[in-house]
Amino acid sequence: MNTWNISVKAKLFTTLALAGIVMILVGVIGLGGTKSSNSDLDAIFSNRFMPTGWVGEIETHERAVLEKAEEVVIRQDASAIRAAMDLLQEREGAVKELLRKLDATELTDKEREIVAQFRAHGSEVLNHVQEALLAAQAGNFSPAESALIEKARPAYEKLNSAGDTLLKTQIEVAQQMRTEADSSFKKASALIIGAIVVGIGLSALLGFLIIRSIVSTLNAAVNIADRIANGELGNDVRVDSRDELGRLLEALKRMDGKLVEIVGGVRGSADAVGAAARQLSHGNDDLSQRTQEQAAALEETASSMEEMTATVKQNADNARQANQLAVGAREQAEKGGAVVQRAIEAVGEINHSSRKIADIIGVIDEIAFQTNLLALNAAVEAARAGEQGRGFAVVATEVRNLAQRSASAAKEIKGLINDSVDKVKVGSQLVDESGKTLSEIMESVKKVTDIVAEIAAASEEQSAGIEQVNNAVSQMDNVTQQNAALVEEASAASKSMEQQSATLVSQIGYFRRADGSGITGSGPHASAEVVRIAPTAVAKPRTAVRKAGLGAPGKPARSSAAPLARASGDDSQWSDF
Amino acid sequence: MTNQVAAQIDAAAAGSNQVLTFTLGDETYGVDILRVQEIRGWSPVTRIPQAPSHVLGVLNLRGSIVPIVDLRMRFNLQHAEYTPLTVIIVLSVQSPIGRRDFGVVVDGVSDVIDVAANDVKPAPEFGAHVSTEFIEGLASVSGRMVMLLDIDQLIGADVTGVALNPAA
Amino acid sequence: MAIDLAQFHDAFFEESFEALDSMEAALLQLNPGAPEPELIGTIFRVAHSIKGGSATFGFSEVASFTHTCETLLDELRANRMQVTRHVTDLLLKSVDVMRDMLRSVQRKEAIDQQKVADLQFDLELAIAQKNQPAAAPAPAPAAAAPVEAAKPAAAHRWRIMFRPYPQLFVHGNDPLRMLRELGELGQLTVKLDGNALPALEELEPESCYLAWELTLDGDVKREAISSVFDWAEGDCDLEITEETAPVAAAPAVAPAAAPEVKPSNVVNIADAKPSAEPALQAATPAAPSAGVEAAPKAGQMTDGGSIRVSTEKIDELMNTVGELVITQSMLTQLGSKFSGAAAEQLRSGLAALERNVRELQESVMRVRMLPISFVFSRFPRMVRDLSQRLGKQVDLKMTGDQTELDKTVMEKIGDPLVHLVRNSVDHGIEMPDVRAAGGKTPNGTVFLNAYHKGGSITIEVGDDGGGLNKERILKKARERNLVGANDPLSEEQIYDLIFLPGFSTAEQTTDISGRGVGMDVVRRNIKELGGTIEVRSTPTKGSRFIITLPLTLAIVDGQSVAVGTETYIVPLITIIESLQLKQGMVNRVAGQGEVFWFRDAYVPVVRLHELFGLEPRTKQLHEGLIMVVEGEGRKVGLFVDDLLGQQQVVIKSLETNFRRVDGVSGATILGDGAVALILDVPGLIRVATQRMAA
Repeated sequence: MNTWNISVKAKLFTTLALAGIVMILVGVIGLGGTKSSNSDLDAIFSNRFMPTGWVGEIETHERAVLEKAEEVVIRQDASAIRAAMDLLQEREGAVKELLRKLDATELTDKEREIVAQFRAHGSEVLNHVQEALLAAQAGNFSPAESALIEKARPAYEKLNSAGDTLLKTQIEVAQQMRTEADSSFKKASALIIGAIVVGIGLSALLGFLIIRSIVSTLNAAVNIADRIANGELGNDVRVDSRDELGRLLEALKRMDGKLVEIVGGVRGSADAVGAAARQLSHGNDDLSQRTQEQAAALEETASSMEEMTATVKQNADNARQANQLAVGAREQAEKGGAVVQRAIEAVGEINHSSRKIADIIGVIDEIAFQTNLLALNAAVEAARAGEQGRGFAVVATEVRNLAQRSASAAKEIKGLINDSVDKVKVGSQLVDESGKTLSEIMESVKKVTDIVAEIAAASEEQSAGIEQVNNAVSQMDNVTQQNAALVEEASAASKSMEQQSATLVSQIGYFRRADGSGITGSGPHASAEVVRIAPTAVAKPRTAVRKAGLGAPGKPARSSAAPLARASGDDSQWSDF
Repeated sequence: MTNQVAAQIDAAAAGSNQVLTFTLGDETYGVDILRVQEIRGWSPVTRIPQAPSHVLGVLNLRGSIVPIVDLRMRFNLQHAEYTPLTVIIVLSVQSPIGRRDFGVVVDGVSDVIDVAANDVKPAPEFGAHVSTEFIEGLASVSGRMVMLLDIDQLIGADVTGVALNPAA
Repeated sequence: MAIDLAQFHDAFFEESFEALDSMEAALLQLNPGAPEPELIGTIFRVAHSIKGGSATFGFSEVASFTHTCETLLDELRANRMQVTRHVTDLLLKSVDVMRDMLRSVQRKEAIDQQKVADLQFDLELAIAQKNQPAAAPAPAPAAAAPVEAAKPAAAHRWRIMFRPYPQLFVHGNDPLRMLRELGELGQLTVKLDGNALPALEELEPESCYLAWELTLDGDVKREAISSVFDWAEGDCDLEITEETAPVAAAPAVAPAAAPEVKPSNVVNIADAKPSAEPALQAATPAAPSAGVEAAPKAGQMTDGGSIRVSTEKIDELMNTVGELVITQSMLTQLGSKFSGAAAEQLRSGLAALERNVRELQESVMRVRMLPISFVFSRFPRMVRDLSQRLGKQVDLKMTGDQTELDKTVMEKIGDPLVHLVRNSVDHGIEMPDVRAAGGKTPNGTVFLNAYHKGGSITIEVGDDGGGLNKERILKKARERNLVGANDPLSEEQIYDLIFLPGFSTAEQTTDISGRGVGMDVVRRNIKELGGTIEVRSTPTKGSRFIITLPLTLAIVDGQSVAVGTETYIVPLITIIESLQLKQGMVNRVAGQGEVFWFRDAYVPVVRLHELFGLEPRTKQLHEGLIMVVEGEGRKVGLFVDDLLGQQQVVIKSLETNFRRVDGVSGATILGDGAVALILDVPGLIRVATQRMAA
């Protein structure tokens, strides 16, 4: 079948085209035969029949001329000569016309030869007649008569016989042509019949082949569709051709494969749903038990809260007392700070004065330096003054000594003052530090009072808060009851879900593999979820209930729904209760 | 006038000269007191472009513009800070183009001393910071050694731009 | 009484030179044919006093020569001789010779005996021929001569009270000499008045205590008598009365003739420096200054109220005043720190002090100012000599010669002016026949005009000659390739070409001008003084050179700028504009550093801190300021930190105690006593250009 890897459309088209070609062939052959016989007939008419008539006519004209001439000559009627001459002229033209026509027809060589004789004889007759008439015109009737009888008549006779010969020949040729046409007709008929037979044979062969290829493929497709309808999936479909039917088979194959996949998926999901539903109902049972435990714990909580209220009230009283004491301590510390501040100022003033003294000493030092320079200048001047300056130089030296002494004294004082400045600096640092310490103490005391005041305020707030907690606990009790009812309902719902999933599984079971094996569930996410839910749902709820503390009365009510709602969520949420 | 001349003659006859001594680092130097114009404290100077580095700049000395030379830098000693106690000695040098006044910055001025002519010894080649061509001689005064400077040699070329030594 | 006369030599020389100058001036004013007796008297007195002085000091050669002069002058004075051009020339030559002799004596050099002897011979010849010159074209003096001639006819008895002041001797006067001279005039009776003579121990040997009462009989004119005492004028009380002429002239008027002529209080300060003979052929204006010749105006020749002070003393005074200004500004600063009622008084006191100090400073400045006649005085003689030599007839017209100018500027402007005047006479004024052909008077005129204009002085030198020849200047300039052959030049530009180095259009080199070293040096000298010169010319009408100079070199208007911690002064005259550059306005050009576009040209930036090696406040051009300055035709943008203020500063030379510093023209002392350097902009540009090229 591989050699037929062309589309069905092309196959049909090829067959029809072959049949058409045969019909055209037959038509063409038939037409050719008809045309040939028609042309033969035409040849017989124009080349054989017509010339026969024209020969007779020519003979008639010749005889008419001859006879007239003979009449004139015999009667010796000179007057008639003129008319005879005219006749001659007239009939000569007609003869010539006919001869021309005769020449134009298709003639055999023999015929042409005969025509030439005929033509020669014709003109001989006419020439002799003319000769005679000319003689007669001249009055020589006798030569004319002799010419006519001796010469013209024999020529005429010859003409006549030539005419007869031509007729005879003509008929012979026509006869021959008829025979030829007969044989060609026979040949054409045989050709046509042969062509028809060959065309029919070929068409029949092709049609058979096409029908056979289409039908076999269609049968295969029908077969597959039937099997799928019967729930058999995973069929072995082989596709050999690539034409339209091949594509049909291909599509069926894909459909089959896809169905196998889908059914597998549905089967897997149904299994998973069934498992989940079972776990759910188990969890619900657990939950209902823990709800009971919670209710008991709530009662215990309520009693502890009352004890706490009493403690908090006492705490508030103590804090108030502590606050009063702290305020007293702060006032004391502030007084101490003021005293230290005054001490710091006093030391600062001492420091300032010392610095001033140091500055003054600096000025003294500077003055001593300048004095020294002045004295030196004086010494220079004195030296310049020579002997007279001697005394002055001595004075200058003394001034210099004094300046140096005052400079060194200034330096000593400067050292002392610097020392005292240093010491004052140390003292002021100490005072500064004690001041700082005092202010730090003040700061601390202040902080303590603040904290104690805060504690007192907090205690008040606490007792109010405890009241609210009590309310919350009773609300929690109510909610716990409602929870228990809801848990029952959830349990029933999960049971019905389990059943539903079983039904789904059995229905999916209708589909099986062509090899007889069943289709197992696919879809990894479904099974993974099952694994994760299981431990969470079982392990955590106990702690959850225990931790549902005083401040969260509304939450336990929601806790039964939470595991479901957050089945895929992280389990850390649980520990937050 | 005559008296001054007489005094000079006296001094020359006695063979003694007055010398102003000053300190520079650990060493004591002396200059002829007749060359000293004035001794004054430090004040900031105005820099002179393209001047040698030891020419610090110029100063207004009672209306005349006087260049100031740092002797420490001239002698390649370590540089000292200028304080109000830094001393400038204004000296006059004789240069080929006339008298020039200039100031030298020294560490401190010591004293005016009399140096007898026969106390002055020629300077040997020794490791002072000053090359001996600037030293007229050495004098020992009450146990201290004083190097007597030839300021014409030392400063002349700096302030005048004219070399004393024609070869230079 | 061993007085060392040498200590008076200096004073004698100074006075003699001055006297010779005035003698020269008077000679030039002397009108040949119609001499003014007063002028002749002046001239005579000069010769007489020099004769007396040199005789006193023992300069016998001088005395001898002067005596000959005096004799001639005496002839003139007595109208025994006509004042002719020849005589004037001889006397002018004598002035020169006397000057030379005195200078030689002063320098203790040998006197050119030959020259002296020649001239002396000429003089004696002239005296000997005194009667012949009567043939000379002497338009008989209308008034003076007959009157003078009439007087000697009558005999007179003159009574003369001569009471010298104690300082008579100090000024080199010798009463004995005077008495001798009087004795020569006629019959003299002398009566001594020794009442003022103190006791011997109180006697000052250099003082004069004596007085004389003299009686002179004879044919003597009052002038002759008073002239004897000319040299003692101002040092004595003199009374001349005519006893025997009760009607001819009112005796009471006689004291008026006493030479108590104190023309004005003008203080004349002249440099004692010996002045070199103004080199007539000096084509070298750069040569040492010819000095200033003290030539007081004719009317002030008897110079009584001026004192002679050396420039050093004035400089000292200036310094002291400068110090005072600084002290005052320090006080003002200090005063602003006080408060209270007393502080108000203090401040007003300080304001008064400031005003007074400023006035004092201005006054001291003015002391340095001298009338420009000190320069102008040399020109009459010069023009006269030149025109004679060239055969031209030239009149010199000087106006504004009392315009005052700083002495230092004056010292340096003399040579350029000499050059210009010489050019005017030589090239400007045409020969008399040419002038006559051009429809002008044969006498050409050379003008000198000086006047103050703003803070500067303008001196014009002009002539009414042919003007500058444009075509010839252009042709010459092209021949010397000073301008391109086809450069289009305006009239001013063409005239300006004459200031180019190596330019001279004189067709033949004379010894007067035309050597091509001239106008460029003139311009350079003027530029060195901070001045400008321009030329105007009209063909056939003449040319005019206009010089503008600062009044003084001691003070400059400056802009103080800050670079780092330093303050510099930039002369205002060099500043074109100060501007702040924006970022991106500066381009870097290879080989030229930074440039910026300023008024159609790229101007290089000179960073002052780099040039002077300072640490500036900023090195970013757009953060500091650019001061566009111009020097020697080149512009640069000086990059400084900040502009501080404009002020007049007193220029002090760095060279006094230091040496020249490139780019710095001097220093000044600021209000706080600190020293600030004054920038020499052309020098700075040169230094910067060298740095860039390096």
